[in-house]
Amino acid sequence: MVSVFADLEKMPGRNMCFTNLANQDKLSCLQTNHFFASEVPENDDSPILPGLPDDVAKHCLALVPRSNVPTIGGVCKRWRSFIQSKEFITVRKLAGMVEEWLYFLTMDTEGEGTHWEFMDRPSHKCQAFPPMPGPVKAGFEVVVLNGKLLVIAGYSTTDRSTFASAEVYQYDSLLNKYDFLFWSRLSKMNVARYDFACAEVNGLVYVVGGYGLHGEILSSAEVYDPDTDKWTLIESVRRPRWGLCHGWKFVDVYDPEVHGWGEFKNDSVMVAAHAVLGKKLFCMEWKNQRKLAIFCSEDNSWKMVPLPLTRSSSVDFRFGIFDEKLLLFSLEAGPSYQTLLYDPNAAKGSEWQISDVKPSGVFLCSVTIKA
Amino acid sequence: MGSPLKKIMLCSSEKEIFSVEEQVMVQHSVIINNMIEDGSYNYEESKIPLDCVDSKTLKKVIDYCTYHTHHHNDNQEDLEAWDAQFLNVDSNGLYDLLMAANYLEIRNLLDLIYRTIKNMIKGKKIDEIRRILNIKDHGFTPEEEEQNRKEYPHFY
Repeated sequence: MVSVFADLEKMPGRNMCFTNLANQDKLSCLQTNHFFASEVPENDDSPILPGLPDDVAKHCLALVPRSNVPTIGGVCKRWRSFIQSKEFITVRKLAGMVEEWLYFLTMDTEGEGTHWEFMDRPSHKCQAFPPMPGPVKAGFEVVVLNGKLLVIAGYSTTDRSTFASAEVYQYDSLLNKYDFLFWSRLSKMNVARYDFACAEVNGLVYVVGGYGLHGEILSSAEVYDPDTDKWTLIESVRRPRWGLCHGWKFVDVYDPEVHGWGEFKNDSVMVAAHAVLGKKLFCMEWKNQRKLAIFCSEDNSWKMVPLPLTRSSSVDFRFGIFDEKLLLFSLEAGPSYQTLLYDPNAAKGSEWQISDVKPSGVFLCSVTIKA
Repeated sequence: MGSPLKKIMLCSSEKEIFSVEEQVMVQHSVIINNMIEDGSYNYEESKIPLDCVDSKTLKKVIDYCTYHTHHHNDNQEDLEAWDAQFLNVDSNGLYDLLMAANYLEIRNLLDLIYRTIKNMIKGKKIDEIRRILNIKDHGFTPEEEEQNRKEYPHFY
C-alpha cells in the first residue's frame, strides 16, 4: 500500500492514493475485532445491556441519533467507553447510521483568535465550541481519526518570538456536550513543528517535515498510533521540506509496509487547495484559481471546470465537503462573499449553486466528521 | 415458497413442539426458508430444534409471523398498531424476542425490535434509560456521578 505526501497538500500519484482512500473503510471494518480486544479494559465485564449479548447491544446503541450520543454517554461507564472506542463508528457505519457534521475553524470577529464551530445540517446555524486549551496557534494541522478531531502542533507567537509546539489536542465529536471530554491532550510529538504535511492513512496519522523549534526546515517524520497514544519517528525524508511550498515539482511517497520513502515523479501540479470526494480529486491550481481541476481515478482523466465567477468575486477559495458535495469557501470575509457549491452528480448545467453554508467569521479551514 | 397446507414442526428449548404452516415461517425466516429450499427438512420426521428459544418466546415469534403473513395487505397504520401492542413487553421479553428473531433471521421482526429498543433510549434522560433498561451498576465513582449530575442536570 502506498501513500502519497506532498507539502501540505496531498497530490495524487496517479490513482495510487485513491486506491488507498477507497480501501480505508474496508480495512477498518476488517480490523475491528482486533482493535476492540485491546480497547475494552478486561475488568470491565459488565454487559452493555443486561440480558443481551454485547454484539447485539452494540448495534442497539449505534442506532441512536448523533445528537443523542452525549446523553447516553452518561448512562454508564461501559456505554461511554464503547462510544469512545473505534468500534462505535464501525458499528454505526454497518448500521447505516453515520451522520456527517461539518466543522469550521474561523477567525474571531475581533480578529484576535480563532475558534471552532460546527454545523449538523446544511440549513442549521453554526454552533461555536469552547476554545482550544493553550496559546493561540497557527501553522498546525488537523486530521480526523475515528470520529475525533486532532489538532496537531503549530506555533504561537509572543513578543516577536515564535514557539514551535509538539502538543496535540483531541476533540471528541461524539461526546461534545461534556466540557471535560471536549478537548483532551494526547501524547506530544517527538519533534515540535509547524507548517508541516499531515495525513491519516489506515488509522495512523503521519506528519512530515515543516519548521522546527529554531525555525529550521525539518526532514523528520513521525507516525501516531491512537491505540497506544504514541508518536514514533520513522525514516526521514531525503531533503528537508516545509509546508507552504513554492515550486516543488516532486512528491515523496511513503510506503507504510516497507517503512521507507520513495520519490514519485510525474507531471504534478502545484495546488492551492484539494479535496477528495468519492473517486474524484478536486484541485485548485496555484497558477489558475479560476478553474477547478478534477481528477477521476476511474479513468485516470483530468477535467477542467471554470468557476462561476463574476468580476468582483473573490478568487481565493478553500474546499470543504458536505453531503457528497464540494463546498468552496471564500477566504475573504464580507457579506457579499458567498460559499459556492459544486455537485458532481447534478445534471449538466446545474452543478454550480450558491450554498447557504457559511462560517460566522473568516474561514480558515474545514473538516467533515462522519460518526 | 412453501405450500399453504404443509406444516412444519418447531421444537423449543423446553422440547415443546409447535406445528406451524410452512408458508408462514418460510416467508419470514431466512434460516427456515433455506432449510426447506435445500431439502434438509424431512416432513415426515424432522423437528427444527430451536435450543435457544423458549416456548413463550417461540409462541410469540410464531404469532408475529402468522399475523404478518395473513395481514400483509392491511394498511400500514393498523399493522403498526398491532406491532406496538405485540411488543408491549418488558425489556427481558423484548431481548428474548430479539435473540429469537436474530437466530431465525426474521429480518422485519428484528428491525422492529431494534427500532423499539432505540426508541427506549432516544431522546430520554439518563435516569429514565437506566430504569427502562435495568442498568443498575453505572460504573462511575460516586464523585463522578455527583459531579455529572451537578454540571449536566439536563441529562438526568
